Amino acid sequence: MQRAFTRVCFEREPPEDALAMLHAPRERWMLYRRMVRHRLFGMARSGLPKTAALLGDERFDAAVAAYLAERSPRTRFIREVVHELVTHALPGWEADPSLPAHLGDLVRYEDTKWRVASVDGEAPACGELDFERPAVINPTVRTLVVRHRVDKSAEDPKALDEPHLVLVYRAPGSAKIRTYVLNDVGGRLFRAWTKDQSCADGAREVMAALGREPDARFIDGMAGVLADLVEQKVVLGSPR
Amino acid sequence: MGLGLRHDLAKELFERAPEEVRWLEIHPENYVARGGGFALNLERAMDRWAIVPHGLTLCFGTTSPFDRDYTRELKALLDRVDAPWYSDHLCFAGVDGVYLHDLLPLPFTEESVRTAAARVRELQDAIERPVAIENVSFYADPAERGGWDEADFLLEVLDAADCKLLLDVNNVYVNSINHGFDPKPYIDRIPPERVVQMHVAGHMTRKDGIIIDTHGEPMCEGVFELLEHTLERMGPTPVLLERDQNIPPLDEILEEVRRLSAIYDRAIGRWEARRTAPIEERVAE
Repeated sequence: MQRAFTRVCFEREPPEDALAMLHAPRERWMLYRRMVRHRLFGMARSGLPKTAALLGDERFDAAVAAYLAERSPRTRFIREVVHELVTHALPGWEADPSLPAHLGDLVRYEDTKWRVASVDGEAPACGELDFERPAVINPTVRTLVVRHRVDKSAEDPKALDEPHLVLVYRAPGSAKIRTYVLNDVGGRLFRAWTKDQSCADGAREVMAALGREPDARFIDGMAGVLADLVEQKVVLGSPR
Repeated sequence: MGLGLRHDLAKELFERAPEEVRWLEIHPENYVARGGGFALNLERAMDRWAIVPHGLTLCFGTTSPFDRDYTRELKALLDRVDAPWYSDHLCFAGVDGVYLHDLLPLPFTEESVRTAAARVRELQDAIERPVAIENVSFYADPAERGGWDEADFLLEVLDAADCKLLLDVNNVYVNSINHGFDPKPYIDRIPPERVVQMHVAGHMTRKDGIIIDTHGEPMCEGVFELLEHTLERMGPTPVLLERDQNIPPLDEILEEVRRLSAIYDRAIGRWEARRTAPIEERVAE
């Protein structure tokens, strides 16, 4: 009975053989189908409002319906349905040439923001940043690479010459979602600073990879990025 | 009287800390392994109110085994908020690892009783505190398959699991309208010693007369009246006003809470009077 009921709720059209296995009048089971689907469609739209607007109701709802029919929610946390939907639908959206080129970036950005709103992670105790020691990164930071500034505009974002790294996070003790965007070099530095090495070694690693000398321009730029990451609570300091 | 800790209401609730609200209910699924605004709200709520957890996904008619990682995390949360008990629903919410994110009705059969009772006992052991089952509203009547009626089924599960009951008075009312029975005899069959908490809520009536348990409307007179009857029979029991959708300004909710408090005091006064009445009067009653 439970399997039949699940099929009635999630298949694109309620299957007659499953309905026949359930006893009460058909319209009562259809009422359940509407309630179950209404809640899940609503959750998907809450997590991906700009994606839904860009795709239009029909396309977005078709993707949710396909997710329910082909994968179905596998999480007890209803908030995670949004990420499950993205995992299921994004390859199809990205392969569809009729959709805007920035759609993939937008979907990943909205999905990341949605997840960061709930991500669990206590800021560890740390001291002031020491360039000769590793950096302590805010544990809520999640990253994505984009080719469009979807953090600025969902409808018509500027296309970027090179991939940028977007950091999405919450400041310690705050529920507000913050976004910080780094260009290619900034992104490389950030990634190097997330490794178990000193900030100085991280900078050397990036310079070596880029084939650059530690000239004044590079050092000034790097110092500016690091200071800004500290001020914006992306980098919290160095371990005590 | 308690209220659900809802994100939409939290800021105003914390700022005003209304004395009408004596405790808060949370859905653990919204707080387990979660940071951000929900975690901050829970911390603030714990500073002032007692917290009572009420689950949505460990429903006792679900046949899949418990996820032990989740029950461990749940226990940690229950310990942290010093939960007196844990409640969840007498229904199913998914199968084969698929979650429906709704509360679906069980057939009222011996098989369902065995499933639910075993699950309640297993959970009680895992979380090391009493478990209460909640009666749900249902729109498709599994009893038409030839099982018991809902009250029979509920009593069988309470006995077999030897557990507590979160008595949702609104759900009894909703089911009584949708399935055509008198709710008071249903209530009167429930052993008061099983009941640890009650729920009341508003609901929506469709054009075809079916009532949907939305938690999104003000309470109706029928539920106020049934609550009074229930409290008079059960005695002092924490009552929670559920409001999960169309959340109005806090003042509107508090108005409803004050009315519930007045009903509570009146009903418990009569319960007290009956309890202390001479034995002859109680027998005659």
